[in-house]
Amino acid sequence: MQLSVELRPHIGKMNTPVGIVDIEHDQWIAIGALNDAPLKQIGYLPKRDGAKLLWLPHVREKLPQQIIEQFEQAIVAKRDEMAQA
Amino acid sequence: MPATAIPDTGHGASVTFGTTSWSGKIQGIPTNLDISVPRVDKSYLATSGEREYMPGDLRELGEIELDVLFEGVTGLPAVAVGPTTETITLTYPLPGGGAAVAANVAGTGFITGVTYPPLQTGTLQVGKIRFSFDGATGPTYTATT
Repeated sequence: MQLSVELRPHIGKMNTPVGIVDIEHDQWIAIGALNDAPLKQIGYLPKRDGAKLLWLPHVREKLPQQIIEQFEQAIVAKRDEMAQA
Repeated sequence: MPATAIPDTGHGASVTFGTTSWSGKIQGIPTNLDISVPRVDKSYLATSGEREYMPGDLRELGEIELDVLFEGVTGLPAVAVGPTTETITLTYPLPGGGAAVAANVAGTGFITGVTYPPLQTGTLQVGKIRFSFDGATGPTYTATT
């Protein structure tokens, strides 16, 4: 089974006295897919070391435990890889 | 494929706490984020007809309340005191139509309270978690993409 993961910056729009600005949060948006399925958000990953994937519950709900663990390992490895780059 | 604009229900929404380790089952979010500006009455003795108002100086961020299924092994999160904040993210359901990332409202905030469920025969145990954004980072809105 092939597993793809991706981390995207979590940037939101915030009101300020001078207008709307982009704010980047201290977490990544975690994206994943199995085999050839289209990439979908699976949760959020805090940027701090040691933090685990915060799953979107409805995504995690029906995944087998083995796949959950594979996603968690892959997404943390991706964060470490990006931190070193 | 770009996301398309389609109406949706609230089913599939979720809330994540950046550091609080609680991952229970949310039954619903009956009180969502309310942002308002207080109105300041600037009427004076010669005002006629209607009172006159001006917008206040600061926006008010309302509390958000979650109804959660109470499970003995999970319980409810601790209510911390002091300068403890975390990133809290309210994620909307991911709509169909090619979207990969769900819309969300996020910001730093803190849990303001929990309510343990009433215990009654024949009634599901439903507790409550309340939190507030602290106005430091966000709240921001991120659109579906």
